[in-house]
Parts: sequence; C-alpha cells; structure tokens
Amino acid sequence: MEKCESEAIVIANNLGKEVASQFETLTILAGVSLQIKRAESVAIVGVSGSGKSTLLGLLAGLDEPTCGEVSLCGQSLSKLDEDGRALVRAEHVGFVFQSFQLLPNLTALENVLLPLEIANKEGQKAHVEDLMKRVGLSDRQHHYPSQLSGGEQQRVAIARAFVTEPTILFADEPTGNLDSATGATIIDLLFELNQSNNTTLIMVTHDANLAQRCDRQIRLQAGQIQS
Amino acid sequence: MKNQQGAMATFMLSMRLFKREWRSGELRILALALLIAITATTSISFFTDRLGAALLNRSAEMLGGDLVVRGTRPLNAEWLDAAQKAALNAVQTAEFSTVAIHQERLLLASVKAVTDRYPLYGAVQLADQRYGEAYLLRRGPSPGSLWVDPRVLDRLQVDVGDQINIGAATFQISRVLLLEPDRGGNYFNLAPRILMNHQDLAVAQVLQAGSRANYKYLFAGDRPAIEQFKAYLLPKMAVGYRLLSAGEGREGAGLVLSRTQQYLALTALLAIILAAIAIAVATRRYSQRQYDVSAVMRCLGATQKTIFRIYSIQLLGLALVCGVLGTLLGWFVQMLLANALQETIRLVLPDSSRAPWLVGFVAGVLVLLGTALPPLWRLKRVSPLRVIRRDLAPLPIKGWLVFSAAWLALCLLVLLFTRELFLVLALLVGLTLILVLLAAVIWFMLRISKGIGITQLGLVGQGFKRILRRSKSYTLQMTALAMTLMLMAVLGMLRAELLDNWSAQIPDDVPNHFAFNIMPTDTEQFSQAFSEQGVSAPPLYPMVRGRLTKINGVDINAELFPDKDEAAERRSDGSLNRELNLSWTDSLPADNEIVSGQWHSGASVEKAAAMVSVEKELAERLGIGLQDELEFDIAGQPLTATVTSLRSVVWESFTPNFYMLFSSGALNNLPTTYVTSFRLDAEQRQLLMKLVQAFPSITILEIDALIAQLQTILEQVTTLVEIMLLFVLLAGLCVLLAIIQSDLDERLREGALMRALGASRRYLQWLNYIEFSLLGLLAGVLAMAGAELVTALLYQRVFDLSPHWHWPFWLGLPVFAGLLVAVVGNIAVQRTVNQSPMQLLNRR
Repeated sequence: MEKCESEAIVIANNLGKEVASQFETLTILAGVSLQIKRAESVAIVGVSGSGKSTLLGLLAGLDEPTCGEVSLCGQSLSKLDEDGRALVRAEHVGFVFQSFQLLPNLTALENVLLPLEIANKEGQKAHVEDLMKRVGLSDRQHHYPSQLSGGEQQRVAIARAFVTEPTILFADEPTGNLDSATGATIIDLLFELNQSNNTTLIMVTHDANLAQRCDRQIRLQAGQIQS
Repeated sequence: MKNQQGAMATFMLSMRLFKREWRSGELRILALALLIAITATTSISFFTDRLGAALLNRSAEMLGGDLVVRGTRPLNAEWLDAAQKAALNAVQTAEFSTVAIHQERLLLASVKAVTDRYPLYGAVQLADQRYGEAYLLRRGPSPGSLWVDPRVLDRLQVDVGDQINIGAATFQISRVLLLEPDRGGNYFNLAPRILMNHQDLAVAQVLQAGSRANYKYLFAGDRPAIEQFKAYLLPKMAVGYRLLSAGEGREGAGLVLSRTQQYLALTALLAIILAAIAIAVATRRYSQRQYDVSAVMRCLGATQKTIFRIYSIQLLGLALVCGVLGTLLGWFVQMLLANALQETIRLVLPDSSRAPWLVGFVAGVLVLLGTALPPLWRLKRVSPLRVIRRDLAPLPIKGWLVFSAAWLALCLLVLLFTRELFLVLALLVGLTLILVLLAAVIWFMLRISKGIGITQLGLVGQGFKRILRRSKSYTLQMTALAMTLMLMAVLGMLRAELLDNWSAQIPDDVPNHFAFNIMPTDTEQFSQAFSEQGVSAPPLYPMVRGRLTKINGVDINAELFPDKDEAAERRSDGSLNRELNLSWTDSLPADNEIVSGQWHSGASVEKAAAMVSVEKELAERLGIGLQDELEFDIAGQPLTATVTSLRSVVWESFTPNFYMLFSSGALNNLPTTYVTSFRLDAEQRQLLMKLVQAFPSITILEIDALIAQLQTILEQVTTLVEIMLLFVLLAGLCVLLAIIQSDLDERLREGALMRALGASRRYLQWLNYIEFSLLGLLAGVLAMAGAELVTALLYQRVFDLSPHWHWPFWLGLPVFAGLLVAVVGNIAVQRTVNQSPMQLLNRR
C-alpha cells in the first residue's frame, strides 16, 4: 500500500449513522463533514450520547456509515470491504481505548508485538525495546495485563498503538479509566509520541483540559457538529 | 510466492498465539475435554474390539469353528483343499447313531468321529475315570481309542481301559468324555456321546452309502480369510447343506453372546456421542471467550481470513496433539483393564484389530471440526467495533446450524465405525424428540410461569426466573445435559434388562440332571427315593413319543416338501426326522407363554378331538397355524388334534419342555413314560448312584458341565456389561462437569453483581442450589422421555426384548440428576459465593 502523502488525511463527507431498534429508527449521526490534516491533533467532544464514539468508529473504519463516506489517507473506506478496511487499519491506524483492550493471555511485550505479527513485519526488536523504554515499561515487559496497574496497561496500549508507526492514532477516552495524575502522565506520553512520530491524533474525550491541548476541537451535539 | 509467505506467516502467528493461549490455560479446558473424549473413545473401542473378538471366539468354540458347513450327505472334498489353499485350519466330523457293544450288552450311542486337528477352538473336558477329576485337552482321541460319556460306562458296565465294539472294529476306552466344546445346546441328546478318531470310520465300516449321518467341515482362520472363504462357499450351498458362521447364533449362549456384542457396540457408540457433547460444549465456551480477542485483532488490522486461519490452525494443532496423546492413553487404559479382566474372570482377550487405533483420533477430530467450525465461522465476523462497544456480540449462531453440523459429523462417525444404520436412526429419533420436547417445555414454562405467577414463589420463583431470563443459553445447556443423561439412562436400562434376563436363565437351584424313561409303574418309587434322601421330589412330566405325519391332511414328507433333499433338510432341523416328545397338561408350564390362540385349560376331557398347543418356532418352520389339524403317528396309532394355541418356550430353562402340549386325556392309553429334571449338589450324588441301581431303565443325564459353561459365560458378560456401564457413567460425569463449566463466566459475573447489590452469601447459595436442581430435574425428565423412546426402539429392533416402561427410572433419574447437578454445579460456582465481588468483577 502506498504511503500516505495527501494533505487532508481524514475526510468525512456528509456522514450519517442510523440504528433501527424494535420500535423506531434512531439517528446517531447526521450530516457530519470534516477534514483533518496530517500531524494535526483533534479532540472530539460532547456530552454522553452525542455520537462521539460512533464518529470515531466510522472514521477508523470499524463500522460502516448509513450514508456519506470516509476516506483515510486518500482511500475511500466505503469502496472497501471489511477485509480491505482491516488492511488499511494494519497499515495506517493505531488505537488507544478507554478500556485498554489488551489481550489478557499475552504478556505486555507480546501485546505490543501483536500488530507487527499480524502485519507480518518482524525483526524490529530494537525498535520495540526502544518503545518499551519510552513508555517506561522496560522492566515489566513479561508481566500479564492483570499484573499491571491501569496506568501501566494504558502505556502498553500506547506502545502497541505506536509500534507500527501509524499515520493516524485514534484514541477513545484514553484517560477515562485512570485517576487524574496517571491520566496526565498518559496524555503527556501520547502527545510526546504524537509529535516525535508526526502522527495525526484523533481523540474522543470528556476532559476539557485534555481537549484544550489539541490543535482543534470538534464539538458534537445530538449527532451533528456544532460550529 | 507472496501468498506462500503470507500463509507461512499466518501459520507462525497462530503457533505463537497457540503457545501463549496454552500457557494462559485458556486452551487447556478444551484440550482436556478433547483428551478425555479421545482417551475414552479409544479405550472403549479397543476394549469392545477385543471383547468382540473374544465373544466371537466363544461363539466359534461352541459352533466348532469360525465357519461350519453341515450336511446330511458327505461333503465335497474339494472344499477342504480350497480351505487349505486359503490357509484355513479345517476339521472334518461325522455324527451318527450306532450301537456300542460290550459282551452281551448293547447301547445305542451317538458317535462323533473327528479328524486330527479337532477341536479348532476350546478344549475337550475329560476325566480319567467315572467321577474322576475333570481336566481339559486340546485334541481328539487317537486312532483305536474312544472317549466315552459316563453313561456308556454305566450302561455297558465297563471301565476306562476296557474294550467295546463299534461296527466291525474293537476299540479301547481311554478316557471319560464330559463335554466337547461344540456340543451346543443339545441337552436332549438322549444317546450318550462317544468320540472317536475319523480314521477309524473306515475300519469300523459303520458309515455306508446312504447311512443317516450329520457331516460337518469346521474351518478356523483369520477374519478376512474366513469372510472370503464364506463368499466362496455360499453359492455352493445346495439343498441339504447349511453354512453356519460364528456370532450368528440366536439361541442359548449364542443369544447371550450376540446381545453382549450389541451392548458393547452401543456403548462404544454412546461414548462417541458423549465425547461429542463434551467437545461441543467446551468449544462453544472457548469460541465465546475469543470474541474480544478477535475484535482486538481485527482492530489491529487482521483480516477475517487471517482470523479464521489462525483459529483453524490452532484447533487442528490441538486435535493432532490430543489425538496422538489420547490414543496412546486410551490404549494404555484398556491394557490395564484387559489385564484386570484376565485376573478376575479369567477372560483372555485376543489382540485388537487395527481400527481402534483410529477410532478415537478420527472421532475427536471430526467432532471437534463439526462443532467448532460454525462458531469459528462466526468468530471471524466479530465486529471490530466491539472494542468500543462491548455489547456487540457476533450474530448468535443458529442453534440448528451447530446442531446439524455436529450431528452430521456424528452420523458419519457412527456409520463409519459401527455400520449399524439402525442404531444411528434410533438415536436420531431420540435426539430430535428431546429437542422438540425441550423447546415445547421451555415455551410452556414461559407461558404458565407468567400466567400463574410462579416467579412469585420465593426462592423457587427466583430460581425459575433466572432460568427463564437466560432461556437461550439454558436451551443449549439443558439439551446437552438431557442428552448426556439420556445416554446414561439408556445404557443403565439395557444393563438392568440384560442382567435380569441372564440371571433368570440360571437360577441358583437350576436343575443339573434330567431323568428320562421313568415308567408309570416306577413313578411312586422314584419320588420316594428322593424323599428318603431328604430331597424334595421333582415334578414328573408325562411323555409320549410320536411322529408328526400330516398337517391338514397333507403328508409332511411327500407333499409338503416334494423335493426329497428339502425334506431331508427339514428333517435335519431335528423336529421331523426324530420322534417328537409329546406331553399333556392342563396347566401352562411356568416359563411358557401363549403368543396366539387360547390355552386349553379346563377343556372337556370327553371332547372327541384333542387340542394341542404348538411351540411357535416349530409352527413357523412348518407353517402350522391356529385351527390346523395335525396328525400324529404314535406307536402305530394315528391321533388327530386341533391346534388351539401357539406357545413360546424358554428352551434354556433346564426344565423339560415340549414342542407339543395336548389337552389332558388326549394321549390316554398310549405308551407313556415320565421325564423330570432335578438338582443334586455334590454331597447328594449318592442318590444318583441309588437311582441308577434301583431303576436300570431310567436314563439320567448330567448337565453340570453344560451349566458351568453357560455360567462362566454369563459371569463374564455380566462383568463386562457392568464395566462398560461404569466407563460410560464416568465419561458422562466428565461431560456433566464440562456442561456446568460452560457458562461459568456469566454465572460468576452475575453472582458478583448480586453480591455487590447486597445479596447475602446464603441467599446466593440457595439460589444456586434451586437453579441447578431445577435444571437437573427438568433435564432428567426430558432425558427419560428420550431414553424410553430409544430403548423401546432398541429392545424391539436390536435386542429382541419386549419394550416396556421403566417407572423406577422415571422417578430415580430426574431426582438423581437434580441432586447431582445441584451438588456438582454448586462446587463449580463456589467462587461466586466465596470470592470478593470486587475480585470477580475485575476479572475478565
């Protein structure tokens, strides 16, 4: 897959998502259009239920929109099937989640290695060890997630997200499960890596301070962007 | 090339993940289920294979060979050459009646002449003198010498070492013959047996052209060679010849053996199904726990294909490892068992065929794939969005899809290894019925529990509510549970049935002597002789010898079977060539049963036409029906009787039984003798001597050796049936555990939540007890319904038993299942009660 050179790295056009329940059709997102540039950091904010996570899922190609389209690094996601989108994710995208989403049966190091293994990129031992050092987990590489604190687990998740050197990093409430002190160090780490790797950061958050640190904020209300 | 690299990378990745999963213990539950299943299946099939071979040997022993040709004319000598070419062992025998002479005394004896390799199976029971110690010998008499029944010694008043004449030659009696292995169930062979060497036939000149004799070729050899030879002989069987194979006997001990074999086949089959249930349940739990993992991997860019490949490779690897290990373990377990058997019931098992090496392995892999593929197929469709929204499970798999996939795998297996289409069908019907019943019951429960407010009933209501709330997960669990219980019940019921049947065959006081030819004038003294010795006198049955000549006025030999050979063949059945034993009585003997028509009790003695009740199998053979007129020739006097009923007779009961039972009075004024059977223990033997001396005309037949032979067989098969049942019960218990474990996570989480919300430990414990016992109780009732159906089919079509309800099981099984599931279930979920809610909620 070609390296992503275009200026607007994420483009959403008139994005909408509806969910049919037993009695009615719920509109979760409607008419969302946006563009995010390379290396930009963007916070998606809004109250609970405003559609933040849904938008993130659509932008990352984890879900399909009801209408509209998303393009990542110049590739239209709606033209790809689920496997095509998976390959785009493997190539360009990293994730950090509120609930960490580490595989419980893999050690910290193995969790970090997993994306490389899936993409069949091996022999980057030095790179991985460096990354572990940078997130401050050199001496906890062989621990299992259940043996790590929440902050440590999120560090592992961050290392896993950066290990493939993604173009875009999606973060869903990365501090939502952490106390404020730990949260702060995690955020510092996230921004530091973001800058040093020239990664685009797209983050869903409730935290006003955190949102402030981003280049731009996109506020959602009832499924629409508030201008 | 790139593709190859990709495939290799996927392989390496799945191996790595496999290693990690294994280390974490997640795969171990599945591996354990698989291992137990394969071990159990393998050992059971090894065991059944070897037992089957042992039983076949037993049956061959009683038949005289694996394959026997019998004829009333001398047999074609070419067949012996052909057998030699096919590397089979062959023995030639000829049986005929002739007169043995010693000085002035004559005795009609039944002589059996055998060639050198006799007996092919088993051994001849002999003694060195009358009442001497019995021992076994694996050969026949050498030329010039005879082995004779003890009665020959008594009647000719000779001893071992003396000489007697048969035909034109003189022979020396060298041993006392107690029993030859292939004598069969012919207890009523009145003429005492003499065993001689086949070479002596020519010297004695007893068999001339046209002499009445029974000629046999006995063959023994490898199974395939025998099958081949059978195919060669079959088209050559003209009228007058019969081909008999070991394992086909349906009477006496033959029936016992063939039923045991069917029971073993059934056990092996049920073990496979139990294994399938265990594997299916474990796979389901495993794939459910992999939802999160595959969602994350999808998020990290793994394609659906990659996910599917990863899991397929993992499962195949698992199947391979567990397959090899389980097969070896299974072999080891059956070795231990076989050795134990050899020591306890002296049953030496022959080596197994090659098939069992594959059964467990193939069964494990097939069932694993059959049950794992549908959930795996779904696994690859887990939405990656699940990482954000945990509630997104993949679309639930349609129950019927898993069921049909697993069922298909099973049917294939069963057909592959048992080739018993009927067993498969019976089980299919039982399973489907259970499923339908289950759905109906759950629907009904939902309906009435809402209507009558059963959920308001305190703790029981709460338990019900829990079941209703998770009815979907329960449907699967309950089906698996009901199936397991059903299979265990089927085997349990069959075991009880067979054992009852067998133990009734040889009660403790089974008669071990028959006495014939008791003259009407001797009856009183005969009975008195017993009383004098303090033994209660046995009942005496009147007996008249007669020949059946006409059925509805048609001459049997000439008209019914115009082909002379066929007439000869019919005669060789034994009922027409000899005189029949006829008797009369007004009361139906205890072990006889009227199958059609009416018993002639209370019929008027004066009635002109006599009435007769005919044994049903003879009636079938001769085409006799109700109201037919039978004409007999009794000592030259004709007698006509109307058939008023057909009876079933238990020939193995060791009491006198008759093909024809007349209404009393019908046989008046005809030459009558009396017959009886009685039991004499070793210390009462002097009575026997007394009887022999006091009534020289009475023939006394000792059948201790025959009874002992049957007893040994029964003892052995009973032990086997018990062992197999135990085996399956243990396997069933393992499956039960697997089933309860299958939704442990959900239970733990729910329990923790309830405790966090303030439920006391006691309350939770009670709730668990009630929920589990309801589950077991319900599954038990459903299992019984299925088991009744399956056993009814099996009894009727496979085991030749009459189907009936099993009421004690209806009460016992649900209660037992309720208790068992409650206890086992509570142990399994003990953590919900004992661990802190925090710990439980934190654990994934």
